[in-house]
Amino acid sequence: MKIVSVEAIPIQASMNEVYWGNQSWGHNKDSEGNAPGLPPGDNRTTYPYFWRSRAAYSRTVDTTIVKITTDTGIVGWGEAKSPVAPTITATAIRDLAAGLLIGEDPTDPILHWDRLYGAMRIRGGSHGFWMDAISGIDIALWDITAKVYDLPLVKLLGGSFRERVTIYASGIPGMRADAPADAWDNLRKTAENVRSLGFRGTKMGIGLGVEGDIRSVQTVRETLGADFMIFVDTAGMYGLTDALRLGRELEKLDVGWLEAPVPPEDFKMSAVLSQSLTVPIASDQIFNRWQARDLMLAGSIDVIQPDVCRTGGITECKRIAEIADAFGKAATPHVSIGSAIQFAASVHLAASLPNQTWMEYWYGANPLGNAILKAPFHVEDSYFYVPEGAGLGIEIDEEKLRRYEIIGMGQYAD
Amino acid sequence: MQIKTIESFVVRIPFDDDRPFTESIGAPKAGANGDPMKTYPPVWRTKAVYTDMIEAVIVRIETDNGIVGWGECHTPVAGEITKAVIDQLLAPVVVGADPRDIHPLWEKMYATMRVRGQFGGYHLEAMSGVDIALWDILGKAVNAPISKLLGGKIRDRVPVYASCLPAVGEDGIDDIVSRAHALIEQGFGAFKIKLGGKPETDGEVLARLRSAVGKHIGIAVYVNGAYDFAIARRAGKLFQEFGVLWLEDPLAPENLRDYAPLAKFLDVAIAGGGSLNTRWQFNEYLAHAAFDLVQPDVSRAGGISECRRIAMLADTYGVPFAPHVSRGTAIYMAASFQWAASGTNLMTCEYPVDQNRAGDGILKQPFEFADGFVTVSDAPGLGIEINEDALMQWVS
Repeated sequence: MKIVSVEAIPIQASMNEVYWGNQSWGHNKDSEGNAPGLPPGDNRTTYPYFWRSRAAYSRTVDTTIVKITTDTGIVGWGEAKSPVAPTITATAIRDLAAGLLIGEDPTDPILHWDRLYGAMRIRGGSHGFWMDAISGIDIALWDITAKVYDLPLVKLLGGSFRERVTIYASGIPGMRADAPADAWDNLRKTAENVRSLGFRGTKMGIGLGVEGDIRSVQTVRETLGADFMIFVDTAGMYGLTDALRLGRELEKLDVGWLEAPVPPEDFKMSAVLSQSLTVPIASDQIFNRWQARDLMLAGSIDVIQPDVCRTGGITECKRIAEIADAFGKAATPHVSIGSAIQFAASVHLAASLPNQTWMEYWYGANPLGNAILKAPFHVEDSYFYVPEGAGLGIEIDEEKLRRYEIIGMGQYAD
Repeated sequence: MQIKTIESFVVRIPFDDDRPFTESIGAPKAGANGDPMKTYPPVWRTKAVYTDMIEAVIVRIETDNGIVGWGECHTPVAGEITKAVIDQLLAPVVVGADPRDIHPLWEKMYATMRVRGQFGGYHLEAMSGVDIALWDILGKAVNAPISKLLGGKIRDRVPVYASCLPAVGEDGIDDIVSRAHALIEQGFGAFKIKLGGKPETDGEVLARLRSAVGKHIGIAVYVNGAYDFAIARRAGKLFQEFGVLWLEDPLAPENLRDYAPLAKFLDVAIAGGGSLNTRWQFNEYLAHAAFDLVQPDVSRAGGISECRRIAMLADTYGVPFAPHVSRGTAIYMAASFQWAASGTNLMTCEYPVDQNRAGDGILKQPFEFADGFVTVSDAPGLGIEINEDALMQWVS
């Protein structure tokens, strides 16, 4: 069995909402020209220096889909996370990865992971666009492999711990302390809406100043009651002092975990947090298993959140979760904006992990979710049911997907 | 698919030869080391009990659709204990379950005795045999060798080394040299020798061996935890002059805190792990940089599931693995080869050389060994076909 083609499909799909991450941490400005979380006026005088933590977001759903075709006709689908500028990742796949894969046996995904990783290892390919590309390819290879053996992917990952995975709705943007009264009303309404959709847990995008963060979480806690699970993500905004101050308040609010409290380059501050707070410290800033090992050795983390479309695919995320388990830590896929392929790959992985905890689920109206599937996912009562078919267990409606394909390079629209 | 039955058998199989290579590893006796009760470190502490047979516990699992999976527990003595663990503790966990949910079954089996301190020993050996049988079933169910189901086959042939030349005093060196030549004649490019007596005497043995076989043959040294830190420093310095591949189990397994400084002190690679179980035990050693090479035992450390994880963990620490394969049958060997074929960080694999009656002797098709490599079978599951009559004649 041989790979005959590797296609990268860069995607931009318009949506009717602004992604919650973008609302919380994006570059977008309000009507007065101020970015969220920043005091009006001279924003370069504040500390921490907020611009360092402003991530680039797209107004559309951007991603790179990978389609690998074999000489037997079996097709595998993967996804390389590309929240912005998907043509970069697509180019890496087309110009660099495809040549390493065509003619090869697709049912050796770990071998190909090493070949691809080795190709750019000494040029810093252990993070970033190249790992995103490897991730997408790896998922497609596992999809093919499981289809060859006519098994749902979870059964090739050591078997199924659960038929359905508990999910939380991601996410609810927090508020700055000086937000107007109607914004707080809207926050309550957003929280109520999450509950009315059947979710039992949610995550809030905070990191907009400690006072605003606390008040935001308090508001959502009061709205949803004591039994609702609330996680928070500060996207690495804080230094140690603010993170500790915030963490102490979050403990009182019974928060499920504090995600990315400090910058992604850090090991030591998060170790102090993990050893000082009762709220678990989580991180989605995970790029490969060596970094994950170092975080574990440093005692920096309680819950690790590798992203199947970013952290090296099924292969690497499974390994990272297993390393975490060897250290007695929890793992769960980070699932942000992306297509149905991301969701399917994540839920198969989550179902295969003994140390799995709540899985993320973007609950927004996703033009690349059920909309590109021939049969929709079963999501109910805060559970995501593992698709039962072979491979990822989904059938892509390619025609619908291709409507969002970027034809030609560099058409990134802000 | 459901597990219908699980059976376990204790087998006792004679060695090929009345003078097995492993003869020197035995019950306490006076000899090259002097009176075992009067030396330091206490020699009797490292004298494991052996019998004069190859003993093992074989696991046979059958599914409701007629697939039979074979597994093996590394139980060199008193296999009736392992059998009781399987029959009384593990069977109720697995019967009726989907055999393809291997990791969930592993966790359930482990949990049965976890809070009673069963982190290794008979319980893990019993689990190992069940785990191997489950992988055999999965492979047969999807018509693929286990190596392909562990993320893909990295290599078609697994490099192996011959195990093991016995420890001798100076008067046995000629015999050891002629045995080494016989192994090279058979196609082995590397072998292991048991040492662990007085370092200077062992150094003599190594010097003679090295000059007899030339510099291109690999010589690994196994001392079975005979040293303390001080003797290990002296012996290691001496042995590394003779270009040994690794120094295996230099210290007792309890002395984790001495392993890391020893690995730092010596240039020769420090190997170990044949007596360890589970990812948690290996992770402690790896996190302390105690090993340059890990040697998990597929029929002891927790089966294929756990050994794959251990090898992956080791790889994350930049450490290679070499499956530990000692007394046992073809099932144990086949499981080791399938796992070895799929591990990215494989260095080599142990190959016991005096056990054909338990190896090829129970197979319809022998293992393919040539030029220091075993070709890994592409047949489903473990890739072997058991001659049940040949195996079952040894059940006791």
